[in-house]
Amino acid sequence: MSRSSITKNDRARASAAHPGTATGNGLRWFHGAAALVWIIVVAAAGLGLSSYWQGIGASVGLMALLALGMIPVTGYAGQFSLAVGAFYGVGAYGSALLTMNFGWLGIAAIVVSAGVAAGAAYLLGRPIFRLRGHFLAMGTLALSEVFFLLVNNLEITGGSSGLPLMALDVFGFELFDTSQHLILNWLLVGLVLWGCLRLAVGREGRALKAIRGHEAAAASAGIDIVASKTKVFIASAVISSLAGSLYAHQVMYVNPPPFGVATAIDVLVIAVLGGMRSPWGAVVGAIVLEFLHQSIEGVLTQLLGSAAVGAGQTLVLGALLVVILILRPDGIVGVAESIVQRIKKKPATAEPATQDEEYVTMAQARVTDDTVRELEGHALGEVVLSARGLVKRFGGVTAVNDISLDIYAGEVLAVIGPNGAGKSTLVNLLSGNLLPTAGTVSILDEQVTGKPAHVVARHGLSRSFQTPCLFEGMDVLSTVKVGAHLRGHIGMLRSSVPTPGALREERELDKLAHEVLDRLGLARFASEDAKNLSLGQQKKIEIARALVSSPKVLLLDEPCAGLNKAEKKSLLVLLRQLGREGIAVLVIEHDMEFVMACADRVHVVNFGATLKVGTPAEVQGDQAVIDAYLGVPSDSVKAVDEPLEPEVIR
Amino acid sequence: MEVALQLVLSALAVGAIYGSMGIGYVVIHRMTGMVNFAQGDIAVAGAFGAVVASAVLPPLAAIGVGALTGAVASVLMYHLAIFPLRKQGLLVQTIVTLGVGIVIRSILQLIFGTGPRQFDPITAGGPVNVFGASLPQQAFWVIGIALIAYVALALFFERTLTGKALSACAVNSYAAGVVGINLTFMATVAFALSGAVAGAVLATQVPTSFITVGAGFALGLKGFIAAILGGFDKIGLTLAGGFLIALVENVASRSISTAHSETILFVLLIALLILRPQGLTRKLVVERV
Repeated sequence: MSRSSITKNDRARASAAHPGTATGNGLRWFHGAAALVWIIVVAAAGLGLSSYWQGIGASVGLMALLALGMIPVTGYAGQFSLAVGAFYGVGAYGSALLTMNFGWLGIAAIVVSAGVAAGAAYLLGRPIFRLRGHFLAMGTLALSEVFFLLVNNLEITGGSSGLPLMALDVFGFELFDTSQHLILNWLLVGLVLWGCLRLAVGREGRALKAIRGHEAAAASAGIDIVASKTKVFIASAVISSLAGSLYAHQVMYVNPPPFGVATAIDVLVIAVLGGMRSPWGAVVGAIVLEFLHQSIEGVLTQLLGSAAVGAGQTLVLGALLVVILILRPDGIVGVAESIVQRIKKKPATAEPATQDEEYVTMAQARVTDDTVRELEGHALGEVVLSARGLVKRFGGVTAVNDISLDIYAGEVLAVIGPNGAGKSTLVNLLSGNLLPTAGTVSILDEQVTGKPAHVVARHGLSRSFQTPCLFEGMDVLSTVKVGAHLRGHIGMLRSSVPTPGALREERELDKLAHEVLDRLGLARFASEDAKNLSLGQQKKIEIARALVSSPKVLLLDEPCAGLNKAEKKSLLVLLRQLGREGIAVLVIEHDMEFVMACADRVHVVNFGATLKVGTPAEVQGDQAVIDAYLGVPSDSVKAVDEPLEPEVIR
Repeated sequence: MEVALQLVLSALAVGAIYGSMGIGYVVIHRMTGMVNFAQGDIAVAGAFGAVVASAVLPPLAAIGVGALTGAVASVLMYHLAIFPLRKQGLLVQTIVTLGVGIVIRSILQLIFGTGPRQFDPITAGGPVNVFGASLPQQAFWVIGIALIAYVALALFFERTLTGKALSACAVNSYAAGVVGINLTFMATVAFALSGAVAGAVLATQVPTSFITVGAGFALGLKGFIAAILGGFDKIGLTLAGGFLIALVENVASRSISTAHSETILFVLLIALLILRPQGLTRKLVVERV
């Protein structure tokens, strides 16, 4: 099969299964047509409206732009930032100061201001994103207030009386008229909206949503969480700053009030009202909020008297925020989407009939696999993952106490032990999700001890979790593609402005994900929401997400829980196959039939320490192992227990 | 020397307010893991409750009404806005408190306008002279009530079953629920305590200066710094943190300028978040599994 035909097949399949990706020609047409409609509507509004409405339209456009800056940070990545007021002000005051005091060109001032905003976002975001979300909210709230106080009190910014500036001059063409403002602002809104929509289905957007859904799982897929959050925060700062520069040039005057916390809250209300999860929310929210403002103003004046309109409007704003969050946290666009989905909902695809194959026990399946291995002359490979003297203490409790293990390429190593023996903690130590108290971990002779999960993932380690850690609101295909994060390279900018290279990479990731889904028998669920599937299917999705990165070592934490017998058997066959392909597999499992048939070696853990390592047969016959599982007569407890739990509970 | 003593003394009184505001954050954070953005506005609601009550009640009783108002506002917020969102995650719950804060502030503004309000001090008479520095009598009440609130809370958490249950929720709310602790009741208690402490101490401050409806925002941010200094965990260190902030504020407004003292404080907030999010404690609360 030639390379081009693979791509073509693949494209057809990808677009059929996942209409969100711009692969087919029809979609490209659709995008072109949508852009054209947008331009026509904006131009018509710019030319047709009265100058009063043009002015309102222009300022609504700027608010929509600000909300578009908030949605990728808060909606996609789930990080609550209120810095928009400050970055908006950086753009406005930057443009005013640089053009009026230093005689810079308007465009140059816009670029430099955006650069300053980006720098501030980097310096603030990088450290704060290590903390939990609401610390960011408070930090950014303080930032907005600091900015407001500074421009209000400093002489260079004109204090509370502000600064004047000129209309924006674009290479000799002066943007003076409100119709020009409206057109410019809304074309920019269209551009940023498109970028945000592309980002949502691109590699980095997926990473952000994975972070919102489950940080540990995202990190294990190789996503650098702090870097991703910081990048999107910077993008948001640049968009806000740009809106600020345009505001300054269009109003031709800046003073402190529009850049305080109040603006940040306005923008938040817009995003919540419209819907955080989609960039369309910014556009819809900005327009609807303006209409609300216009319509309640008269009512408030009659109701409360003109003096109280300000407080009344704030009251409505705050109440709107609370009520919408309680009734529909996904906003207007969320409501619209669920209506569309209800209409489009196709009848559930019938389960394909299970093939009536001859019943084979797990042990028999193993014998078949062993025969194949013998024919192929399969031998154990090198040590892929090696752990020495791992210790993990939680306060006074030693969960893992001096465990050493090696996993060889091509083997399946089962880790078994009673509940609470420290198996899951051990996996967390190997994968970098937990820091060991002592001991080392290396992958292919490279030290990964103490490195964070996303760095360990880069060394070729993939894992699944004991309870499935899937991402809310993400379909199965995208969930699996998150696992392929490290197999792509497209960054945030190229994710949002899809270059041919970015589209090609996306198709390749699609293909990889589909291959894995086919292999695990999940293909027909590709477009379903992963969280709506059964536990067994969720477990398989996790394995698919781990496999798609083509790992060198695969750690599976209780993959059989929730699987029926036939599924367990097919998992067994899969793991044996993966072994033959040279992957080092570690599996934690309680199902002994599965363990004995699946494993090449078994590592028994009890009270955080190694009890026995050996072949399944050796382990099965070991008296200490039997005692650990079945208990021992009370008179022999001391003799067995003491060496095993030296410092479990102090 | 007298100047330094004066700065320290007045910082004690103002710091008691920031500290109790911070305690309000800590009590709620320990129980629910969330940051209550309406904290400052709830305290202001408490202070206005006291202002209204002072028309018919003696000052000390009016302050009691202030505590009650703060507690009621806080509990109402929990049951009307946060409880319906309990399945939505911390992000949405945090955003909603911001909305509630705005609602409280604008309702107060509609009722009371933007002007300053005041009522009589608990004990009449001139300021007390302490080694050459002077402090209004009411300031001693502020410090005293903050300390009483601290001791009461500390005893509550250490000695009572409800307090211990509340601490258990802080460590692992799921496990606490499993062993039969009523999470909703515990959250109600936490929100009530948080609102009562912040409301009472702010209400006690009203006779020495005055209160305006817009005060909640800055108070909320300063209380948040105190809470960071307390590591979002230790109420004693939070109170100490409140004093430190007030001292920084006093020194800054004296030596630099009054206009910039708040700027300096909020920059301090950002710097703390970046450089030392664990505050005066040794370990970051999010890592303290």
